[in-house]
Amino acid sequence: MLSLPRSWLHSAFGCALKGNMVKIHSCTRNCKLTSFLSVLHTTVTNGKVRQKDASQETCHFIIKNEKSSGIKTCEFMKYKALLACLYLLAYAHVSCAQEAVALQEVVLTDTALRDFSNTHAVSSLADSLPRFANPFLAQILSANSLLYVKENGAGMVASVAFRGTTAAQTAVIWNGIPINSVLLGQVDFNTIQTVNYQEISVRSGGGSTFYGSGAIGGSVHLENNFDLSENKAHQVRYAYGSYNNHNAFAESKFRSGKWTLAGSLFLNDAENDYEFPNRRRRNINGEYQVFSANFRALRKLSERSELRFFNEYVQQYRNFSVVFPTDVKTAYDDLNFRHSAEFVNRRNRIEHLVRVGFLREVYRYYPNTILPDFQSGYAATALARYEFKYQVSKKLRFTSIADVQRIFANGADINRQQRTTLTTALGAAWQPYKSDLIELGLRKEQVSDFESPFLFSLGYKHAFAEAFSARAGVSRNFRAPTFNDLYWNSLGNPSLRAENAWQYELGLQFAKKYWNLSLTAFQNQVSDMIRWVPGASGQFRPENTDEVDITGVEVQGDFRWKFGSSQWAVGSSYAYTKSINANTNLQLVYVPEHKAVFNVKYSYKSFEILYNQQWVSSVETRSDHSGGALDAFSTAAVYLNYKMSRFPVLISLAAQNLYNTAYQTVLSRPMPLRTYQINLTLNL
Amino acid sequence: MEMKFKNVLWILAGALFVGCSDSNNESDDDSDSLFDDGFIVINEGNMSGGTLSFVDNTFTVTTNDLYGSINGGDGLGGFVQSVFEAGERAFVVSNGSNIITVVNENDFTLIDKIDTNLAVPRYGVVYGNRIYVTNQDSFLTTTDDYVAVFDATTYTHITNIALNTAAERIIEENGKIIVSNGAFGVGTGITIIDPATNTISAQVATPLAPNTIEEENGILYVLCSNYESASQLVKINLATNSITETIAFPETLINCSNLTLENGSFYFTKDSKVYRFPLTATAVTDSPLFTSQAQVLYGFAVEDNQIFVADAKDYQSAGAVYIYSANGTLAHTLAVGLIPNGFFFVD
Repeated sequence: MLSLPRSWLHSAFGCALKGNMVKIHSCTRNCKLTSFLSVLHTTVTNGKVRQKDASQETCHFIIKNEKSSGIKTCEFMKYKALLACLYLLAYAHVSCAQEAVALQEVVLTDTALRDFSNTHAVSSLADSLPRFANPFLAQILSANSLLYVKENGAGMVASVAFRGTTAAQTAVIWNGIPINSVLLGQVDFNTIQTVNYQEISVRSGGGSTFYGSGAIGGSVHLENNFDLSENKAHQVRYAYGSYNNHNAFAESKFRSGKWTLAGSLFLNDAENDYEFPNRRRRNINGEYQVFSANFRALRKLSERSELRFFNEYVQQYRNFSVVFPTDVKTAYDDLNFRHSAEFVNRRNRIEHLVRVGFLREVYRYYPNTILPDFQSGYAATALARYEFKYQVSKKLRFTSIADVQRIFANGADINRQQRTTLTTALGAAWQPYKSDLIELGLRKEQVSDFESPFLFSLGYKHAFAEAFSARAGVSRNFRAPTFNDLYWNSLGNPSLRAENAWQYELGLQFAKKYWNLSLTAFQNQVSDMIRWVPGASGQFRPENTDEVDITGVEVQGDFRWKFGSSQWAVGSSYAYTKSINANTNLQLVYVPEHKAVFNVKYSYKSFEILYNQQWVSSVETRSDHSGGALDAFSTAAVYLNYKMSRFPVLISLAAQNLYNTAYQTVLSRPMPLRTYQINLTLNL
Repeated sequence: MEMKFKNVLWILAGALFVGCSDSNNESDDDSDSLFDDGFIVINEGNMSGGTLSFVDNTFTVTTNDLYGSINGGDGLGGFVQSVFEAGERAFVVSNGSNIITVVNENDFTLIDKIDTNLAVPRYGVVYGNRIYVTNQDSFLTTTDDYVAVFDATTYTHITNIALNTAAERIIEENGKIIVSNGAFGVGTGITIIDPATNTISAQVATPLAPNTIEEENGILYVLCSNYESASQLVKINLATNSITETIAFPETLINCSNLTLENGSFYFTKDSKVYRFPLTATAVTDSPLFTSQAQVLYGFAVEDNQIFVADAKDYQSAGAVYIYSANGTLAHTLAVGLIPNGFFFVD
């Protein structure tokens, strides 16, 4: 059964739609988890299901697809006429889980996302999204999530506003390790190449108890996993797009004896000299080059234990686009090294995980490209972690985490500074009744250079009926002051406190056979916000200054339908966000009140078409709303896939910004009009 | 601010303010320019572009984008640093975009743009049909700073004068081009350029980085300051290029700026405080004339017995201009553009 998701993993064909792939993928994960954490995810009684939302949707969908693919169907068909859809879901899940146990399909490392996030909203961005046409995470998030993505032009520096928060209040987690810049606190979402990961998930809302600093608006999870179902697989891709955008990607996976190895290389080179809407010139100084290499390995030591290795190297050379043609031309190099090694041992109800990791970020800033001068800096992070998981009973499981981290940073603006963090955290999931799930998280960090608050999260979920559940949560989250905040030469403020956020969330979920609908309302009170503010002398220094009250509503819906060889999948979501500075009573800059995304996929035999549209309301760029607001915009994209029947070749065509919308997500930074791309994928 | 203040005209203009009509379209009969009845606020802005605000003689802001509104939305470039003038022309310096926008001072229409041989241009002055513009070039070093020289009729580049030290403020006095060699507390000294040969004729060392310079009666007044030490007022005799007097400020007066000479007094600012002492003073005390309303005092001028203060606020909202009487009483508060850094008074 699980050959289906796997095949999808290797081919963009048949899986270009978010809605579908999201579910498929979470299924494989859930199944895997279920295999050793068993019951909490699934309980079936009297034809009723009480389980994690994602699992429901997932398995439900897998069955449909497998049926359509002519693959083993979990014997779904013969029950179809008889069973209520919930029964179906339950059955689907059980089947799914069982097979997963048998096949040990996909190995994951960031298990907190699945084990202790079941009272949270987690959505997985599919492996199958048209990533190749969107090699950077910024574009994927912009088109497929409710995050507002701020880009200084295509391919340039990109940050996000997640649930009304600021750029550093979204944590990015790579294989369980936070990778937000030590220096800046945030991630440049145009330096994350989506092709390097098998899984990309978005966890909405505070997650500091498991992911530490910055998980205030939410967290974005990048994961590599191991596919154990095939001995070898190779893929080569090449794409050419507008404005001399060349993409090349090669990936190989091998399995031999106890080793499973996978490696990939990605190259992207773009002239990026797109024409500006309503202006008589092109984008100037926007060229970039990206090279990344990813290597991962899994070594089975025994039935119960294994070693996993994750390695990644990313180098990105970018010129920075100018606003006026005569502006000083600048450039920026990012070099990122990420390494992680894990030992995992599972026995009965106990799992141990030991991880060591090393991250290194290096930047070089060229303030004037015609001069050789540059400023540089780097930060190195070494970490060690021990996780202990204990499944006490079918109703209760615990995890405890001990983590030590040492950071060293040096550079033009930071003079040899370091930080040591000792973290202890505890997670518990308790299902006292089949209809009720309670999750608790506690965390305390001892940090050498600032006072980190005691964190906790509490979530509760109750199923009122087979297709209807509600959840509630409260959490305290934080963001650490960055090295720049604390130590910037002569301007840093060593007495900064951590940013503090209290979050409250309520959710409702309806899940039926062909559709599901979820509604979330949240409130987030952020205090001690760190901002660089001008002192009386005009010098900017960081201070704990603002308080922000964020309230919002999110609505998400999916619909799937199959008719003969035709399949439809529709996914849509909308967010309303008020993010109010308590001092001024005004909406924060660069936070839209409304954002909506819409995806529809239609597939027929070897053809597939995907249509995506997003709507973003106006954003302010001045704190007093005195002008400079960016217009609301809507952009659309369409993707066509054709899988050749005689050759293992997939041909894809993409047109983005289909209706030639002039839009900006950062003031004076026009984004491209319509662009095209053609992509060839060879699967061997 | 070393804006050219035309005192005599301004006294006349000031007298006219009292009974003037509030229409901003009616220019004064005596004047050639639509804009000489009011004043211009330089809104430095950010990378996205700076603007000029025009404030009419009723102290009403009639536009926060004077140049753009007249020239079809054209931009002045990012980070508008300063404006200087010659005859009927004004020169607007954008240091982020390496552009000097030359406009007709009477109607602010575009005449030409100088956009070559500039590298972070800061201030300029016109003398003898030559335009002299200081350039900071790389922010990482002060040794590459230079003065670019352009023809003031054709706007073609003539030469660059390498200073091998910082280049910031520039004025002309008695046939000498005087450049201050410090910015943001970095650098030291004054360079004097001979415009006949476009070469350096003298350099005078100062103990701290010069912040602002003003000239009166053959004496160059140099306010020196940085972020660590007590500021100083250095007086240089331009006939001998020698320091004649140094007034050390009290220890509390660190990072003073905005030296302005007006009516026998010198003014300077420290944070949001405004100080005034007679030109003949031999000592300075930490007793401000008044403390302005400014959250961040980012621009300053004294004109026609009025004191002009520009407030950059949080650098991401509409700036403010406060106008005070000579004794520091607030007379007008105006909302202007983004990050106002100075004033320009049209002849």
